[in-house]
Amino acid sequence: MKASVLIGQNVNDRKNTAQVATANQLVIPGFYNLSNVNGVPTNSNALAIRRLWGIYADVNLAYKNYLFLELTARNDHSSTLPLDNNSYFYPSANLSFVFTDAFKLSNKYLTFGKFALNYARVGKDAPPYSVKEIYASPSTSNQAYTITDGHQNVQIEFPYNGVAGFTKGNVLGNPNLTPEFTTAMEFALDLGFLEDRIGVSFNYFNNKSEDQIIPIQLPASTGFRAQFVNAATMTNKGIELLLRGVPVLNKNFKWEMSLNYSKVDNNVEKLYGGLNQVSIGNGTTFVGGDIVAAIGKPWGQLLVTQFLRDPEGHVVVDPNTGYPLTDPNDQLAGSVLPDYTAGMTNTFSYKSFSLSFTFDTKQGGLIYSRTKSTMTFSGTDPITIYNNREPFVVPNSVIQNPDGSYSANNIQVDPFTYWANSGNAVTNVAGENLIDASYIKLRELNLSYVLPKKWISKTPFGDVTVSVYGRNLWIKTAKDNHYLDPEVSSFGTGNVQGYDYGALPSVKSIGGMVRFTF
Amino acid sequence: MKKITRYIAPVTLCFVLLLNSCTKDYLDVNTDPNNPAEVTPELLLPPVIAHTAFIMGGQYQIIGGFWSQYWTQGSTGNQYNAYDQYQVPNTTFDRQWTELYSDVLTDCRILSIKGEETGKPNYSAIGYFLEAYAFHVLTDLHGDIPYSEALQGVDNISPHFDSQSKIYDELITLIDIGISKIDRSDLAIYPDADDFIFHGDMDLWEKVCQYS
Repeated sequence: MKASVLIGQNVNDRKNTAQVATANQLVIPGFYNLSNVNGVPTNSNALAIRRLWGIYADVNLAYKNYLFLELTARNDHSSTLPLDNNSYFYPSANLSFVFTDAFKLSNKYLTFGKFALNYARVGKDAPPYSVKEIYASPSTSNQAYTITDGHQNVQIEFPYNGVAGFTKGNVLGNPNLTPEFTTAMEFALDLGFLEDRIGVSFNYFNNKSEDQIIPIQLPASTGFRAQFVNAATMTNKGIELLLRGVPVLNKNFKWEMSLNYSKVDNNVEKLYGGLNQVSIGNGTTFVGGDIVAAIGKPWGQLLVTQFLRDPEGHVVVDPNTGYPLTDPNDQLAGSVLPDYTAGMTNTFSYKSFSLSFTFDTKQGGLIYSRTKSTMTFSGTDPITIYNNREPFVVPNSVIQNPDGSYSANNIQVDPFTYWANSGNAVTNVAGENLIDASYIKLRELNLSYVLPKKWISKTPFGDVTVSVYGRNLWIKTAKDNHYLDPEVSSFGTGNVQGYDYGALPSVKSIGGMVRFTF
Repeated sequence: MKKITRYIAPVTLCFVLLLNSCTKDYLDVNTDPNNPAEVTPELLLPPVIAHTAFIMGGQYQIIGGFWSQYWTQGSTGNQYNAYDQYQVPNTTFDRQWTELYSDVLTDCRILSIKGEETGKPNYSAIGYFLEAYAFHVLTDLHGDIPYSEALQGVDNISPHFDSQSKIYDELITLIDIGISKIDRSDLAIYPDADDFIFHGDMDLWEKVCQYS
């Protein structure tokens, strides 16, 4: 029986300082100095300080090298939470049991076996400065507040004609923020067979995230646009499966393979203020749509305008003009989250050479594609050559009769107006610009060679490996997606996912590498 | 073992003492250093006017020009076809709606309060006038809009829509309050260059309100 105890204190002090001066027109080309500017340089500085003060304890117990128990407890005080209520506590417990060692089960077939039970609760604080409101100057360095109609170079900035100005910030402070907590339960099983030639890892997890801090959008009629609130409670239940094996192994040749699969069911359980759905797009809405969290549905639902449809799914058109009508109510079109993800890696080694490649895939999930909308507008999308760009009857369309029944439509429409040139044109109806985000990718291909020992015996290096690699070399997207790599998101890794705002194509990269060890 | 326990207690005690003594001040750094927490009426007024002018003289003027039949879409362009054909989806004026409520009207309310608090009631008066103007144009365009329950932040996150006729009545009251705030005493403080419209001439402000 062994035991170790650790008590610690953790102080985390983060300070970001940015000082930016920008000048557009230089007087003398190539002379980079702020004095060499035609006009006035734009200056801005941004500061962010966050501090965390924590104490923790960690107890490790081991019994005969096969039964392990780890218990932890931690209490944090964070500067980003309201000052009088900034303390939060969270514990964890892990139990693991190597049953092959305990019961002497190891034999030719079963090499290793372990199961583990984990429980962890983790607390998280808020983004800095979300407790109090501010006033902001609509200046060039504060783009969120410049007065604009959305078109470039049409805006008013302060100071305006030498007059300074400030406006109330649009994000309402929240003095009642509390930390968010995630409670994770996990069961894990690890098995090794045939002297570890085959390995299986299986995980089942059930996580609950409570009081998640999200900037939810407020209706502008409240006088504000957003507020950081403890907005949502959601669950993530899922499995992860990892299989690894060595199908071939002899003196010169080795083939290693690994497969992974993961499926997560996400469900939004509770939302702020008893609402059924809240916007989580933080103000980054797109034309005719938004990203919301809705009770009973997976996170990240796209809420979009759509063509009006009859109960059988036909498009309902205007009985006079033949153009599609839009549904007066925006509809939830589906989640941006995938159904499952999987990957496969193969490595072939022959003497000093090694070749490995990794495929991975994500299946399911939706993206709103501004690229598709723009290509439809400009007529570069192949879907716009429908009927050779001659007038046509909207496919699968019906007309609603005055008595409520539907009958077939035979009114021809002008292609330009249908695709691009009206408020209800395909390019402007967000629901028509959603694409399936599924893909299969050749993530990486790598060929490497370890130099013979005798070549480097007189150098201080232990090993020298030369390799060439290619990343993102091949992709297969869903049938309706001839637009983009669905992995792009125009807004990074935050809440605003499944949204392509004319993102740049993803990059294929090919490179070489020499690695030395000593 | 006894030896260890002898140390554990004092060390733990130190942690606890440290924690209680310094954390409060140490963690009191959550005031945004990039933006002020308070401003004066002189700084609030200019963006309110600029923003109002930008919307009224921009997008609202365009839609007004089209729908009053003074303007039409040129035959070679298509930018304003949606206006021209009365095919305006419910998102077209999102930006103007959002900015009038969350920038202009919120600031008008603050201006009205701060003007009086700081002994500059003429700023309050202009706050009331500009609030009435923004609500007036909003209801002209949209009909029923949130008014009596609007601008209350999280105290009311779904303000109900008031009828247009009721709002018109209330706006007259609002203008009357504004006129009553005008301060022409010897000690009166008048806006200057920060009032882009009348440069602090309260007679002109009152005149506009009387005629509207």
